[in-house]
Amino acid sequence: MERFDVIVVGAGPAGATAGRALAQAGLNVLVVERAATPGAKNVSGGLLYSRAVAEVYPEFWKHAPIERAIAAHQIVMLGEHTSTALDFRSAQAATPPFNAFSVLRAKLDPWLATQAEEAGASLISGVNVDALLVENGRVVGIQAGPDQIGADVVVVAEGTAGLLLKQAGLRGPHNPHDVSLGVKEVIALPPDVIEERFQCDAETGAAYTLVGSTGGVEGGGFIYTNKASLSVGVVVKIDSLYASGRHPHEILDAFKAHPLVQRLVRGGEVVEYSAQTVHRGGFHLATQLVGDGYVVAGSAARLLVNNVLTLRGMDFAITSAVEAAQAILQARFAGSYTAATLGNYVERLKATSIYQDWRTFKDAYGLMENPRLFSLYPDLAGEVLERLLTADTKPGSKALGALSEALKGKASWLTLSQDMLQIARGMVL
Amino acid sequence: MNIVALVKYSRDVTEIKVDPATSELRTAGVPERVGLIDKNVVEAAVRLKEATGAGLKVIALAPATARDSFKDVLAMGVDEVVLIEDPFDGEAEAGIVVRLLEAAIRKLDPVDVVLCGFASDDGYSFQVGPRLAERLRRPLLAYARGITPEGGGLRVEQNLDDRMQTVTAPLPALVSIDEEAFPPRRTTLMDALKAKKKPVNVWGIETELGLSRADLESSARIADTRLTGVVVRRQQRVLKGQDLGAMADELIDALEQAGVLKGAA
Amino acid sequence: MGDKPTILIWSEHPALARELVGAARQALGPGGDVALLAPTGVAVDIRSVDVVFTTESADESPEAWAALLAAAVSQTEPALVLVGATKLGLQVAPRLAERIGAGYAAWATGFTLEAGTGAVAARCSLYSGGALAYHQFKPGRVVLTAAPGALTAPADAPSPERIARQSTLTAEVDGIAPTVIGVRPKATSAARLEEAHAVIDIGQGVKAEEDLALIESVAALLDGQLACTRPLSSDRDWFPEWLGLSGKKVAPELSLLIGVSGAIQHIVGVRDSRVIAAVNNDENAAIFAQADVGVVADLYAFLPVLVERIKARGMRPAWQ
Ligand SMILES: Cc1cc2nc3c(=O)[nH]c(=O)nc-3n(C[C@H](O)[C@H](O)[C@H](O)COP(=O)(O)OP(=O)(O)OC[C@H]3O[C@@H](n4cnc5c(N)ncnc54)[C@H](O)[C@@H]3O)c2cc1C
Ligand SMILES: Cc1cc2nc3c(=O)[nH]c(=O)nc-3n(C[C@H](O)[C@H](O)[C@H](O)COP(=O)(O)OP(=O)(O)OC[C@H]3O[C@@H](n4cnc5c(N)ncnc54)[C@H](O)[C@@H]3O)c2cc1C
Repeated sequence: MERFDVIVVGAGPAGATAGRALAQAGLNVLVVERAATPGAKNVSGGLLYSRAVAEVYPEFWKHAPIERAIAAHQIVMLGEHTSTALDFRSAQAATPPFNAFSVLRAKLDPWLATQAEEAGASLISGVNVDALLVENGRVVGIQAGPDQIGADVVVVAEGTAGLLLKQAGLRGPHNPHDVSLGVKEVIALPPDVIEERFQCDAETGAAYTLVGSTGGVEGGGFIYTNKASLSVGVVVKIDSLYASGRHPHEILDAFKAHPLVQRLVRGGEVVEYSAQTVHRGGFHLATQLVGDGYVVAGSAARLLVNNVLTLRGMDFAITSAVEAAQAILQARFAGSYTAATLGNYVERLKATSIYQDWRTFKDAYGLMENPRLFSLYPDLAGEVLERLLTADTKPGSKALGALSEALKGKASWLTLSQDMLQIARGMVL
Repeated sequence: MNIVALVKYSRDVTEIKVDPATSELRTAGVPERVGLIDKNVVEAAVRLKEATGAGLKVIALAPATARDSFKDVLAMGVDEVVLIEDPFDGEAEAGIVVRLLEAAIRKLDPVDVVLCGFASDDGYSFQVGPRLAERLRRPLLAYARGITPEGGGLRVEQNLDDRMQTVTAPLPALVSIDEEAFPPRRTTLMDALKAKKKPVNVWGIETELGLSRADLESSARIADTRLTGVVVRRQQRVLKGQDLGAMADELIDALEQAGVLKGAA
Repeated sequence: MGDKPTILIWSEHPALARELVGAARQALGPGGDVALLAPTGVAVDIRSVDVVFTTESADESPEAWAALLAAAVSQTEPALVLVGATKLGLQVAPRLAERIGAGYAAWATGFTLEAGTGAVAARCSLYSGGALAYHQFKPGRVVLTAAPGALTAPADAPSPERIARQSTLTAEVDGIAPTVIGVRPKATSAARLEEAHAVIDIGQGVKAEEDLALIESVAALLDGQLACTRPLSSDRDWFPEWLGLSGKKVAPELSLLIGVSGAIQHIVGVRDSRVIAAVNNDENAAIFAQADVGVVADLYAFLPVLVERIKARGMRPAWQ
């Protein structure tokens, strides 16, 4: 049987990064990716938060195919005919070390994979790994079509679905409650139109996070500016979607038809449509990260911040892959690849700042459960402002009074303040 | 025995869009790849290699950046790819392409069998086989659906317009592969790993082929080509929704309005 | 070539040769000559030809035809050679172009020949019919191929009676042509798709051969003939022929495309239909931009309802 020191399954951000780190250390590494070219089928809204990534790929913005530095972030509540926005702009976010970049996976993933290849990893794309080879509870290699290939350790970086782990009996099935579906379009627009509509310049761009107008289905939407296109999508809870009986693309269409969104995407041509599941990415979903002969990195390990307001997985994938690689190198030094020797991965991961963030946001995951966020508040916010800003014959009312009016019969003050606290905890700007 | 398979790096024409307002073609971003027809060519060549123990090289005309696109072809069983770096960016007329291919084949001589597609995915102009046969002065076994080595030559089953025809020819010979005649094999991980060790050699037309760009250009017979897209003029009405009965009725109404259906007399 | 240009024509199909003669005559006006290399064994009943070459040779190989055409070229010195785009013609024409050093383009849908200079410009179908290329050739001889129906001249174009000069050609075929050792006729389908009023055109969305019963129930109501995309013929072997670039081309009153994605290579086979309707469950499928009316639905759910509604409303094809 052909053997490698390490086999990495999947060449997303996690797999490519693990492959690179291990090859750099001189190991004989095989990275297997099922798409014909890495990234061809991968879906991200497309904000790459740069802080953690720059630690692994120093000054990556100088070399990697990034689209725009995100210098403006808007959080918008979409009522039926209103929109209420919080507009955050930072000049700092437009200079190194930056905060986040918009990226397109079809470009980013091949670049990451090339970094791994240049470090000496063997990348094979267009081949699906069918199974993990398990002997006496220990992962000893992979099966791909007729071929079996052995390795001291397998890095499972297969993304959300986690089919290989499930099939090998190393992981239970998904609870539909824990999964969302992301549907996304890339809409082509000329750069000057984007810069005018989003008030940015040639290098910088804007990110919109939108709540509401997903037809009562729990979830949110996003619009990110690329160089010559927009990434526009919605992420909705699967069980809530099923319950609504609606097609995912109908939700996206409805979202795009909201006047605010419509104004931003108008005249563009849809050049790409994709859909992918994503974990709700709560701290409570943390799973086993190591076992005998394998480690799990990236979204296959459910390492993801996903709380409607933020969706952050690529940087987490990259960080986790580096820590996994380090743990493998330590295990190699010890000469054994058991759950115990590889367990160091977990300790290392816990020490990273991104893991701390993950914990910090743990209270915000409940946002996904909070139906008021999707149906009541967007309209409420609009209604309050409408009352405040509309000149009519009645005497002008104060903000609180307007809110009180608008709240009547819909929610109590207590509920409102509890929800607001929860929202505040969910924000990363 | 030595086999050469000719492979075109072609555009995926299903991805070419037309601007409805200006009829302009949008070819930017249209993926280029080893054509589907040429995957059949490689399959036929690999089968012939397996049957005869011959060596098998691919000659392709492509930009040097296309190197990685030939992984699949190597994984299928080709020994080596010769990539002629295309100085004309895929825009040269077929007469020039044929001269480049001829020079490369002659450089690789002795070549016993040259295989190519009956046409290319994008150009689809059926020229390369017949023109090369003229230039190389070798028999052309065109539109092959079956190829058998026989008595030091080849026997080929040809799919012609009105008949199937069996022909033979001595070597050296040229074979053009008929549409979908040799569905490409699925490659495995081991095939792909082996392919990693196989070379893709990039040849320059001046350095390796000894041709001059100016000479090639002066052999062009077309002075100028202008492209426009064919604009579709259809009503493009799309019916969607949950109520199939209502949609069926709408479709029937539309067909009635268009004069295709009529109601009971 | 002089100022009285000649166009030389050949196709092994008399009907196609006649079409090409019509187009050549129209392009030349009364001034130029039309020369024809006649198909074997066919009485030359083509009027408005100035020169007719016949051959006694029984060799119908592409090599033989290329040699005969080359001989005809040296006798008539044509500005343009027009060849029918069949599998045979598409072998002969590029060979000829290479041999006589002429310019060449395939799939012409129109051309012009300047009387004084003999300069040729041609409009050719490209990218499977998704685009048109307008080629301006350099001075010198040009060879073009054209498919049946691509160059049709108006039916009432004047075709002056000419007294054709006849001569017999022989040509040497050098010894490199393959040897024919067997011939089998091909299976042809009984379906006369070209004559159908309605074509029910199915694609890979139809999953199993048993499902053809459902399709046939729709075809029966619409008086339609069944046709298919290439994969249903070449991969699944359900039908002997397909529609499209490399298949048949139809132009019925109605084409109903069911479970067809709308790839350009297929669409060129049906795009001359008067009305195009489509059923596909993927609303992003390319077919919806190619149809007059499209239904986004699962065909298995939708077609039974459609059948039921057509019956309930007593609808029938307009031509019945
Ligand atoms: C709609 C949407 C929007 C998102 N937006 C953002 C965002 O803005 N910012 C952000 O940071 N994150 C975002 N995410 C999350 C982010 O996409 C993931 O967290 C990230 O991609 C995880 O990286 P990964 O390498 O672990 O997995 P993936 O990127 O999923 O990569 C897994 C790879 O493994 C391959 N693979 C899987 N199975 C096999 C097999 N059996 N054999 C061979 N190869 C296999 C896959 O083809 C894939 O290339 C978003 C996700 C979605 C769905
Ligand atoms: C050089 C070249 C020449 C070619 N020549 C031809 C040619 O002459 N003729 C030809 O046909 N093709 C030709 N092709 C192939 C062509 O490009 C397409 O691959 C082919 O036409 C696709 O066939 P299809 O639409 O049946 O299949 P697919 O592309 O697989 O489409 C199937 C469609 O069915 C839909 N569908 C699936 N399930 C359902 C359901 N339950 N209900 C409703 N809809 C459903 C899907 O959404 C999909 O759109 C050629 C290709 C090349 C490269």
